[in-house]
Amino acid sequence: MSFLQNMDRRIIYIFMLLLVSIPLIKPLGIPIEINYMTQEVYDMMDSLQPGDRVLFSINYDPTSAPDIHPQAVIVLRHLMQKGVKVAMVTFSASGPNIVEQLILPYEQEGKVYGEDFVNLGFIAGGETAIRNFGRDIIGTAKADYRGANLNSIPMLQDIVDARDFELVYVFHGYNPGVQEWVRQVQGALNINLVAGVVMVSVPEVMPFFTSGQIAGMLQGLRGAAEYELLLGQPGSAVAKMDAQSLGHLVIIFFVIVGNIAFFLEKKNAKK
Amino acid sequence: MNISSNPWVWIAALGSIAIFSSMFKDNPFYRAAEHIFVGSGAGYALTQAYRNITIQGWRPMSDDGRFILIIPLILGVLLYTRFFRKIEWMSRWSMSFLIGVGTGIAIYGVYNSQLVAQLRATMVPLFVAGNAAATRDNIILVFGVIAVLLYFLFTVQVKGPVKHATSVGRVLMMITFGVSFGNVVMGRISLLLGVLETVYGKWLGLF
Repeated sequence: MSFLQNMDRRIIYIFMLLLVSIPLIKPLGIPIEINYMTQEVYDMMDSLQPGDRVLFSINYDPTSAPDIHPQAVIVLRHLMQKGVKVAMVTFSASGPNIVEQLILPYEQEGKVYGEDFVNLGFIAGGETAIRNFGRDIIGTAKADYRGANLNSIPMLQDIVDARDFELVYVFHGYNPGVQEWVRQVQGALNINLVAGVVMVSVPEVMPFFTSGQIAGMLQGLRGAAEYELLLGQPGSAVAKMDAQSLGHLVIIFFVIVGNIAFFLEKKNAKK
Repeated sequence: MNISSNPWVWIAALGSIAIFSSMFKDNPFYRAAEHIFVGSGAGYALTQAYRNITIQGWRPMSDDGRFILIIPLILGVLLYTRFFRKIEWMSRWSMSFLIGVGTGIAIYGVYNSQLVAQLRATMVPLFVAGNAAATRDNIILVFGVIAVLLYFLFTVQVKGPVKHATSVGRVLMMITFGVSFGNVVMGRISLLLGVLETVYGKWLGLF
């Protein structure tokens, strides 16, 4: 039993690496059930009309991207297919390059920068910046990431504050993120706020969903996979869900083994 | 197998493997990758900061004549006086300003959107006619909040019904911690899968 209690952590790493690698290379096709929250977000996006404007707040960086970037990719694809215009801003220093990565395929496809989407770049200042940006978008951002004056961007004409967008979609990898948007903009301006969050942050964002302060929430990679299925375009997130499930089984297995070892050792000590 | 010919993909894959190698043993590849990451991250942050100061501070002043922006620029420069012992006290002005504004903004938001709005969201009917699921959820929500709050009530002696309620509150918190841990595990596996996608997919072309 002491072997199980003091197992070398590298054994767990090897188990985990093997079990998540196999389904990545050869998918198993484990069925994915659609969560009602994902369905709600999908329906909300699907109800937008061509020409409507949506604001993305990209609040993640490469370290949290694997869990949340697939969400941004698939939601943006949905909106581009519907002809919805998307402005993207970030309060994370590495955000502007993520935005450039997101819009690159659509620029290559022939969509027009400034008319179909725009990169408003990084605005420093965390919660204070979110507050100012939400109330005065042009005055706070001033220029887009490519250096153009915001008054010259066609899709931003007559935009004053966050209420001028049909909805604001916050992709939350870490703070500043959903809480700051709720605290500083949603409460004051009563905007339609939707959140895409990394799995780690789901418990802290959930109260805002149950209270109605955010209209919908996508949860991590799983949320992206469900959205891909709803859109009928399974992609990288769906492909990873088999590996995700097997990874969970490894953790469950080791938690059970660790607990059995703990209780048996306790029992032996009593004897 | 269709190995990538893109040098950036090679750098990303080899960097990921070098960082992961530390899980088995500290080694020079890990340390080199770590230092490159920290250095490039600092360099990148510097360029973003320079861009921000230019676009949001300098240009509006020089192009539009908004000279009021000289105040935050001076406050920003004063932060660097902490590197000079004789005048480091000047950095406290900037810090006071930052703390004051930050606290004021946060308090307003927390009170309005988190305390009041969350309290309002907890004031729900315990019985919803014709909707058993909503009734069940509301009962759990209301009594769950009361039980957890009672657990943190230290001004009364914990005995009798209060003791039972605090026990329920404790169990509910344990369940919440379990849910949080489950979410952390799921999130971390997603991060691992992102790295493996780079290595197996983009680099080695295995899928």
